[in-house]
Amino acid sequence: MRLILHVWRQKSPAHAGQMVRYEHKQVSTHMSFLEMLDVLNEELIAKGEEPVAFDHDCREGICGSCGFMINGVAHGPQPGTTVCQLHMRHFKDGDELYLEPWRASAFPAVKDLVVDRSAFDRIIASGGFISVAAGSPQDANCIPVPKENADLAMDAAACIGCGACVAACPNAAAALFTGAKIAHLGLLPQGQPERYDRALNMAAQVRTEGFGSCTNIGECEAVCPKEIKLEVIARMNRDFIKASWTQRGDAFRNESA
Amino acid sequence: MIGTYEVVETDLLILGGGGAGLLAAIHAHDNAPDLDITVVVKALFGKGGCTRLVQGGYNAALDAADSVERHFEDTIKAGSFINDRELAWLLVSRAPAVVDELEKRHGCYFDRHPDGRIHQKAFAGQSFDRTVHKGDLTGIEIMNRLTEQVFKRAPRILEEHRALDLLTDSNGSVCGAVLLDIRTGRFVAVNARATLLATGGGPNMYRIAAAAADKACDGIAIGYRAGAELMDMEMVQFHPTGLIAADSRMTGTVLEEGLRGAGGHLFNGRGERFMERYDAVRLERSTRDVVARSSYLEIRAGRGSPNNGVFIDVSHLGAEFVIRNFPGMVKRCSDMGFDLARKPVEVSPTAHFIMGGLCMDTETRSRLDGLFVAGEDAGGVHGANRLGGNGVAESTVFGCVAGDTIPSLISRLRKVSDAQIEQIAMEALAPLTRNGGESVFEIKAEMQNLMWDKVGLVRNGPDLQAAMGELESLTERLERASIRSFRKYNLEWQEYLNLKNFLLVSRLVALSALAREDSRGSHYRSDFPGANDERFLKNVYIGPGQKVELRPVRERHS
Ligand SMILES: Cc1cc2nc3c(=O)[nH]c(=O)nc-3n(C[C@H](O)[C@H](O)[C@H](O)COP(=O)(O)OP(=O)(O)OC[C@H]3O[C@@H](n4cnc5c(N)ncnc54)[C@H](O)[C@@H]3O)c2cc1C
Ligand code: FES
Repeated sequence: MRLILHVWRQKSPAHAGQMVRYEHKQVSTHMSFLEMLDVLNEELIAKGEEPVAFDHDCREGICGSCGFMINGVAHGPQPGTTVCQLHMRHFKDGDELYLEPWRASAFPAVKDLVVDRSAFDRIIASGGFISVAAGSPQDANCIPVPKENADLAMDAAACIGCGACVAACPNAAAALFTGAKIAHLGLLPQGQPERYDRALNMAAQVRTEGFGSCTNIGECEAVCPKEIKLEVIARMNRDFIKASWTQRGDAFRNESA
Repeated sequence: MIGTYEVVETDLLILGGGGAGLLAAIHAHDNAPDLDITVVVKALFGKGGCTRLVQGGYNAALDAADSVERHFEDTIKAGSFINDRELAWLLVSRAPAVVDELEKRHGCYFDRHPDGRIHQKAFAGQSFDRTVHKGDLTGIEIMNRLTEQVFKRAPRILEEHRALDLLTDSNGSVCGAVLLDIRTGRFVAVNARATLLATGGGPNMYRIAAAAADKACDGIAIGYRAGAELMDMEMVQFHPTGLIAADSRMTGTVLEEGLRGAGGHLFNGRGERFMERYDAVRLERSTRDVVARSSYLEIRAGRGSPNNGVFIDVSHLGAEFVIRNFPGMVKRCSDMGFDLARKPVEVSPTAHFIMGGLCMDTETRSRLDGLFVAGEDAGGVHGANRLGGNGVAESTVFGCVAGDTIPSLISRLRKVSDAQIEQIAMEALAPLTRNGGESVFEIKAEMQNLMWDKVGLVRNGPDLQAAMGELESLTERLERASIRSFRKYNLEWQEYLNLKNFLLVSRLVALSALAREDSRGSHYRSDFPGANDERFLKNVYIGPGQKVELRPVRERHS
């Protein structure tokens, strides 16, 4: 089939970008979306033009490298699906598709459809981990966890850090991403000791990075390829509020002492 | 012409950030907090590599009724008895503690029984159900948690940087590497007191392959060019059930072994359950190498499915059962438009893992001073065939070992020569300065077909000889290929650099396969169809200058 693609082309952060129109005549319905772009790129290279840059790696929907907007929707029209797992049979001959990078001031442009998502890395570095004093090795079977908590933690742990939630959010907030981390670690016994510090530190980093604030719109949940639920944001907020109160309480006690 | 380049001095340079690289960084830091550590990844940090792709799980003898001795026996039996016994023992004996560490220190959380014990599932070729997992997303869990732990320790992280070649001093000691920043096209020279290769092999030089897109046998090629010795390069594992879809290039993505384990059937294009002819007893539950080869022979004989594969059928197990037990596989198939729970799906053998690699000792030292190796880049652990579940065990166990031993073995900083840095950079830039020549994509496609047809699942002397010649001429053609001369994020250039390494490693695979005149594990020679223990219960080594040598298998002393 034949597609009309409008692709955001931007040489580098220093250059201005623009939409460029391509007619793609060699699209097979068996292809994945990224393969369709591979073929476009090979044609561009053959013509002596620069190929379209986009991030990808596993092409199995599990690494979180890929992601861009297709007609204004993060990862395109299929719910619960990354662009690498999106297949061309969901499109039809003559479709016009607009491909744009994630847009958020916390995700600066790199090239074409590639943006720099290292803000996520810094949010994790600010507290998204567990710290346990290295003790004598015991039997791994010794951390019993109720299956119910384990399942909840598992859903939150499915986050692949692709950034679709930020791209979809009108406020460019990073609440679903940060919430998934906080909910996940906060549900595990290993994650308890720093549970409240984690919430405070990560929230502070989110602000430093310039993400917007969450106003519970829910666009993030709708585009999340791992179908992470808004519930993680509620959990994060609970931990955050509790942590803030404790902190205030401590300050109060210190002052009066 | 190479432009200005940055020079970074560091104590420990880790090339690769899969299970092996990340755990090496964590352990090295914890053992020596003052150590300056630099981790380099070709893809995005925490996202690239195959450790993430692990669905099946992680082998470790945890259950009281199981034992490390049994795990050891299973491992060397699968390896057709050419595993380095010291390394195999280290793998199985340390795996339980590493699983424990992943949970307690790094926050991984594996599936549980209702009573809270870790759940372990069955995997082919094992005498006990010892595969630890988190649903079918085990790799995501391990990689996410390790990535967090690395961020916490804040080493220098260089993402979307690819290692081009190692730097060596006049004695041949390794003293760092030259990197290319893929985003800017600039070079970075890293001068390091110790260098760890952990780029994860990756047999993507085959037409149908399953490894992550960033992997191109870089570590093996880089190590070999610097003078390191390799072993067992003929041992490439093919997974029997890679998903195929007509003219899609998504070809090769793995459908997990559990489908056969649960009772799935394989049919050829004529609707025959062909495994009856190859292994009448175990049928589809036969080992990976046998099933993969049998499918290949059916396809070669013209009895394949319409898209040159065979069919896997699990529909007789009941749709509900399939959906409940293999949700990830059902989703993967439905993304591509197939209904795994109700209909046969076309699959093909797919290149999956390289058992061979750099020789190492039990402290992860390669044969070159200053160079260490861990994970899929290393050889010896798995012998002629890897057990499912032993791959991620290898990368995590040996990553820990590397991080524990390197800080005490590290030597002084040796000076690197500007001339060597410039030479490596010039070589990488060469295709950007040429005109004419053919497209790298054409060369790549030819290489992939050639490797599949002549150096693949069924090999023979004349084909291997022919392949050696053809690989040489492909290499010459690559040396004439030209690339548009811009440097930032130049995908074609990256493909060229990948091809250079693929072609070198492909030649070494063919060379090693010629030397092994018997069939063993994943290596099958139709001209020598049986195992010949008298001559070949040995390892094939390749040293500098493509010198091939067979040496006896290393026994266990510990
Ligand atoms: C689809 C699939 C499923 C699998 N399932 C299982 C399973 O169920 N159980 C199991 O035990 N094993 C499994 N394996 C095997 C397992 O994934 C590997 O054995 C293991 O993860 C390898 O780990 P590693 O650390 O050596 O390399 P990887 O995890 O592959 O990491 C390689 C790293 O090196 C980087 N790199 C590559 N080249 C360069 C370069 N030139 N410069 C800098 N960095 C570079 C990459 O970006 C990446 O960060 C599977 C493999 C595949 C492909
Ligand atoms: S490329 Fe890995 S999730 Fe899409």
